[in-house]
Formats: sequence, structure tokens, C-alpha cells
Amino acid sequence: MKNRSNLDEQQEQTLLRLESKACWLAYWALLISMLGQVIIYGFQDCIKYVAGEWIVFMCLCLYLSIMCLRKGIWDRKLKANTATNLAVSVFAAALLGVVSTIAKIREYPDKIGGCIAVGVIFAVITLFVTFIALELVRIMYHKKITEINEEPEEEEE
Amino acid sequence: MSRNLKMKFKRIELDMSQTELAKKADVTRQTIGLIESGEFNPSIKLCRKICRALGCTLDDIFWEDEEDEE
Repeated sequence: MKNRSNLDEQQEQTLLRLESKACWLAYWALLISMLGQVIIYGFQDCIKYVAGEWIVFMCLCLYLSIMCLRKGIWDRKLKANTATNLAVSVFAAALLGVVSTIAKIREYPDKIGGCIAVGVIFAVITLFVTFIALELVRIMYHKKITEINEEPEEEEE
Repeated sequence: MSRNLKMKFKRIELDMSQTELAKKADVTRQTIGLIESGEFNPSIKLCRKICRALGCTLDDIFWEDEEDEE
């Protein structure tokens, strides 16, 4: 038997909008919570505290990325090009650089220079890894878009 | 989105309340209210249900001239 919804289409759309907001709230809350714990507990100790959140966060990210890719969707506002990917990677690198520098300064307050160096190294690694990952996904996205556009039109009966 | 006055007038013409129309179209009264106030854009499927309930065509209540579409 078909499972009939209790909602009409207006309520369904409203619920989808609320669920979408809840999803992004969870995404940003998890990210902020993890970065906060990295700063508070330091890199070594934070792993045992953020492991659960990290798994949930990665599941959320992977699901969103894979499903958007399969449906040929990139983003509402950002364009799928190298310049945008570079800008996003720089932002991610700067964020992680700052967080890792602060975390290291909390661990070794007397070695500021070394802590900044660690932060810079983390930022550079993040920049490369994020940029390469985004570029690979962009290439897959363009392939998918080409595939979707090349699908044969349905014949009229 | 502009208000759907055509739908509202048609419903009033038939001396039908929002609740009655909602029941016939199998939606909530709130949905009818939101369509009439232009705050919700119904699907073609729901438009057809409303038209059947009001005994009119899609053109009668949902067609808008280009200048009114904003």
C-alpha cells in the first residue's frame, strides 16, 4: 500500500525548507564545534573529543557532494570554475591556518614563531588538498552535465 | 508574487469558504489562503484540483498577462 503523506504540497515545501535550514545549521554547528575543540584541546588531544562529530560531519558532506554530483548540481551562487575553487580553497586554508596557529600557541605559548610556521604549513597543505579535490569534483561535474545534456529526448507517442 | 484575486472572486462567486474549497481540493485551508494571497505558488497538479473544485479552467483563474506576472 502506498504510504500517503499527511501534508499537502504547500506544507511539504515548507517542511523541506525547514529541513534544509536544519541541515545547514547542523553543518555549520558541527564545523564550528570541531574547530573550537581543536583550539581548546590542541591537535593531539582533540581527536578523541571530535571523532564522533567528525564522522557525522563527513557523512553529511559526502552524502551532499555525491548526491549533488549525481544530479548535476553545483551550487546556488558559486560558479563551477577554477577561479572560484581557488578562492574557496584559499578561504579554507586561511581558516585552518588560523585555527591551527591558535591551537599550537595554546600548546606552546613560548614558541610563537614555530606555531606560526606550523599554521602556515597546515594552510599550504589544506590549500593544495582542497583545491585538487574541488578541481576533481568540478571535472566530474562537467562530465555529468555533458552526460545529462546528451541524454536522448523522450519520443512523443 | 501578486495576489490571486481571480481565484478568490471565483470562490466567493460560488459562495464557498476557504475551508470548503480546501476540503474539495484535498489541501489545508492555510494553503488556499496562501495561494490567494500570492505567497505560495501551487503546482499544475494542485491548480487542476482547485479548478475542478471551482468548476473552471486553468486559464480562468491562473493565467496572468505578462505585465501582471511580477
